[in-house]
Amino acid sequence: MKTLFLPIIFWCMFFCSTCFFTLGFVLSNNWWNELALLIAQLLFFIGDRYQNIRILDSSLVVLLCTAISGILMGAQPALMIAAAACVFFIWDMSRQQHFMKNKTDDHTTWAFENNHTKMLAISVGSGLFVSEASFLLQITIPFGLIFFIVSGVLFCLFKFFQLIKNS
Amino acid sequence: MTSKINFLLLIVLGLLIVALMSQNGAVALLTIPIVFYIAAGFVLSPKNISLNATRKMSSFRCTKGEPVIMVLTIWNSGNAIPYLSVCDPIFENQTIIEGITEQSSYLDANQTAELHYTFQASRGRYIWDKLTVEVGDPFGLFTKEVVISAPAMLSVYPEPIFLKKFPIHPGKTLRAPGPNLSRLPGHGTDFWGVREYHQGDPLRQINWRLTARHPQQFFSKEFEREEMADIGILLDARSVTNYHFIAESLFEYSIIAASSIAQYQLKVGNRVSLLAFGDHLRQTFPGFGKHQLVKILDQLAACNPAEKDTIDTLQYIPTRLFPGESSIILISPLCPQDFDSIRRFRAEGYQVQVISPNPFRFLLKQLSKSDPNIFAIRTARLEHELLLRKIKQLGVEITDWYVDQPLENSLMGRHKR
Repeated sequence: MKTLFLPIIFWCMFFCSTCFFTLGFVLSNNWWNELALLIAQLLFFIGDRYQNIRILDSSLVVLLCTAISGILMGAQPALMIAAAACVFFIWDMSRQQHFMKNKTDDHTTWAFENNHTKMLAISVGSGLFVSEASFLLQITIPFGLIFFIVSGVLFCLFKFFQLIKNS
Repeated sequence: MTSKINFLLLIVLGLLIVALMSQNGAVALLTIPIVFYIAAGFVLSPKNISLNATRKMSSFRCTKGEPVIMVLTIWNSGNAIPYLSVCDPIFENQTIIEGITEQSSYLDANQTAELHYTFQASRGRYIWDKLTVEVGDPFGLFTKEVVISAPAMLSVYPEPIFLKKFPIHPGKTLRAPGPNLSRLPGHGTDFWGVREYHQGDPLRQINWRLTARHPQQFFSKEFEREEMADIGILLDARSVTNYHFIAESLFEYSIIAASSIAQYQLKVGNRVSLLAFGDHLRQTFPGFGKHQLVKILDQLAACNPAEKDTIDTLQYIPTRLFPGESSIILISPLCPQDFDSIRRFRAEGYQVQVISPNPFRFLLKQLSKSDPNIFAIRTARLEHELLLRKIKQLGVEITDWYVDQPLENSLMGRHKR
């Protein structure tokens, strides 16, 4: 039961992401993006099979780029966001498996995996809910929020350069 | 913060830039699940950490190659820790044969996590002191290292060689029963002489044949008293004499010889002490019995060849570290400067025996036959032979141990050479 629980969630989320992407691309007749999706998923499988973090990270970036291009080329944004959230979910699960390569069948390890999956589902699920709910709201963005976003961007830029400096 | 969060922030930044450039709000909304994920990680990261660790080993002393089970227990006495990563450091000469040395786990308040593994180790003293664990949120975004004290020590003894016979001829013995003939009458098994009967002599000691010849007198047999000897093992740990290759070191042979001799001499009932000289002195004071053997083996486990090139250490060893006129067994590959030191030991009344693990046999074992250094080794070997002859002339018993052969063969054949 313990060993089956996580793979079932993983494959369910993978299936959901594929469905959301495909539906979005098919509805908008966006066949090039569908091709890009297949290549990105192949990349993801390779990364997952060989537990290579770099390939996994690259595949996440490619899949998010596919979602962006889908949005920009007229696919349903709600479907693309849902697909991207599902991709993010499976990316984190796969990455987690990489760090648990030498795991034991200990109750604390099982509790850790269980807690991780639960928290991941709650955080990504609530994030997805907020994103989808925001489509129902038509708001004009106030100056303060723009300021906050710009500050956030500057902070991210700062972290980015710090990362480059450290590496 | 880890590289994972930097990567995620980079993605968020990229998405926001694309959203701003394309003026498309839907692209910006892609960031929300990721931002929620990061925020959840920040909120769930543990604040007050209180961890304790203990180590339990199946034994604190073992011989080389013997499997040892290690159980590392970490107890959380604070709030729940969603992510705890433990990685127990592995020493250079330690081999894991079963189990794992790293684990990630979730620790609730007052819960414990255990790490079991079995390992083998080469001779040496292994000391564990601090353990560094990583704690953080369940996603591994905001982690920090916590140092916990988990002390333990393991002494791995050299592989034992059980010697059947290693006779010594001590000049002076202690006034306590032991295995060595003392050249004095008393209790023993070897016949010493006959004397007049004294009141209290047991009847079985009466020499009836002599008594029959002298009807008015009784005569008693005397035996040679068997007493304990004082033996000092002097172990050479200098870098200049102990050659070291990647696979093995000549010093290990010296250690094996020292442990085997100590084991044998303590078993037969002698008093044994140890002095290892290299960068610094390691000493075990004279003693006897099993407890003394443990003390000596503990010192031998901790012995390492010196790192500095010191030649004259033997010359400056205070001879008073060994009881006067005791037997000294010097275990050393020897260098030409040692001749004067051995002469000094003899002049001060010590009985000296030298067991020399042959450095040239060891070198030849390591080098190929086509190596150009072979001729240089042959020349040095001749020089070594001459040194051994010179030392022999001082009245020192020498065992030239060819390290590719068992030690016992060399010890038994020393009188023949």
